Amino acid sequence: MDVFANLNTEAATLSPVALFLQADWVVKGVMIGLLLASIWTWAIIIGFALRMGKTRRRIDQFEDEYRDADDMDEFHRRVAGRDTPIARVFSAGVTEWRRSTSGKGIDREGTRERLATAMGATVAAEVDKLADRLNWLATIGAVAPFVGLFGTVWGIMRSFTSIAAEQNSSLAVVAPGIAEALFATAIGLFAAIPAVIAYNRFSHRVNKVEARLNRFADGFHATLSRRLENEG
Amino acid sequence: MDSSEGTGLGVAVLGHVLLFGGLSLGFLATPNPVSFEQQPIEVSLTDDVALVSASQVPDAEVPAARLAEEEGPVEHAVPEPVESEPEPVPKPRTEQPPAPTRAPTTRPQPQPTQPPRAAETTRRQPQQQPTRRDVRPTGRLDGLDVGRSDTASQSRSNTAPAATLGDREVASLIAEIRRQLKPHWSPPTGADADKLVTFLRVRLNRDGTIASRPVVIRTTGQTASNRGQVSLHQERAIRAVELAAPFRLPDQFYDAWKDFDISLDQRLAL
Repeated sequence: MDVFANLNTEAATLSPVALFLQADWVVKGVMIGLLLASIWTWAIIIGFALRMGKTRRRIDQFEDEYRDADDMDEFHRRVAGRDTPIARVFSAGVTEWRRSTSGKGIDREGTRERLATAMGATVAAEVDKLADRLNWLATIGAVAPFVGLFGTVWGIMRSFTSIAAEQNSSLAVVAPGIAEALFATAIGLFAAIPAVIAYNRFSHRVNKVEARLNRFADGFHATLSRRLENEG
Repeated sequence: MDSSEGTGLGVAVLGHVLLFGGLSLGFLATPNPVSFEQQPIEVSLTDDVALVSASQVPDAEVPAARLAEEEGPVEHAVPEPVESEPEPVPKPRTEQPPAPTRAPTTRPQPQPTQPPRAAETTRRQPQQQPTRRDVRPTGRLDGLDVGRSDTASQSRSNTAPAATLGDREVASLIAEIRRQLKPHWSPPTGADADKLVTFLRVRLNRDGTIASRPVVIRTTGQTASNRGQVSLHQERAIRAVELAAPFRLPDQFYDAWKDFDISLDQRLAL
């Protein structure tokens, strides 16, 4: 019977590539977009994980060296060129310190305020730089299911029109269209789920790094403030 | 985009290619989920159908060899009934008179008697009083029509015997046709729509396809409230037949289903 023959061939065409190839062009566009979104999501996730790991290791290393350093100027010369958020916060503090203490009369209160402002601004800038790509993850995680749903709705509408055209509602006519339509939602969820998970995890890690930078800045500010009193 | 993002992009692209490639291969490799262990066979529900011959089928087999009558005990006391026929023909095989007329041939071993064929020669010999033997009835009726149908039919006709189908078989064929129509028949719904019955005349080819568009003979059950549904009912009835074609019907009964009338109503759709 031809029904069984159809079923046999349809079962063979349930692979992702075949589902994509037999889809409508709108659904194809949705699928391509969602696939790119998925690739971009994973690129951000992997790149972010690598960078965060590197950042954390450098912060650990920097804090160790900072604790062991005796002379601040000598330590500053050593770490000035480092491409690390915490080194930049340190450099911003040192630079502001030098500017404020180079003159004759030292305004202690004003110097403390400026030091805090300069280092806080650097921390904020570094955190912004770190969290730059995270909004992509948030966007993809929020939108991809809806885009996939749009592809599914479109595909199911199309398969209903084909049912109407063929005057036949047997499973062999309905199944391929619905399968390819549901494939769009599958890709949408496939892109969205890692994006949402990664967004939440990475937000948490960025917050941790920000808190750590702030702690370092506060500690360094306390050190400079102490030296400011001794200077006077 | 710094180096770590570049690395991430590369790894992501590679991972997606691997994943979807693997999925495609996996779908190709998995056994077909709807393949059947045993291939479905087509079942025709016309097993009641059988040909009934409308003419007498001549017996093609040679009649069984006639059995010799058993000899009964001779009853001398019974007087011989007077035969009205002047010259009764003796039954050739019941008696074995000596046949001296057949001379032994040039065989080295002369045989005095010849097998029963020799009896024919004895018929020509004038016998005024054939010796009759009493025969006990055996109950066997074979041989009653000796001389009339002792041999196979001499008919020269080589056409197949005309065959018709019995009522029960025709009903069975119609049931089969209706069974094949049923999935394609969707009558209109509405007030009194279930009272409509459309009669169609369908002509089929030998392969089960439709020879010509089915003709509506009539539609019964029309009322004032379903007047508007009549044409739709007829249209759908014709469409049901067209969709159901080709019909799968036993080929040897083509004469019975090449041209038939069928009624479609609400009950068929249930």
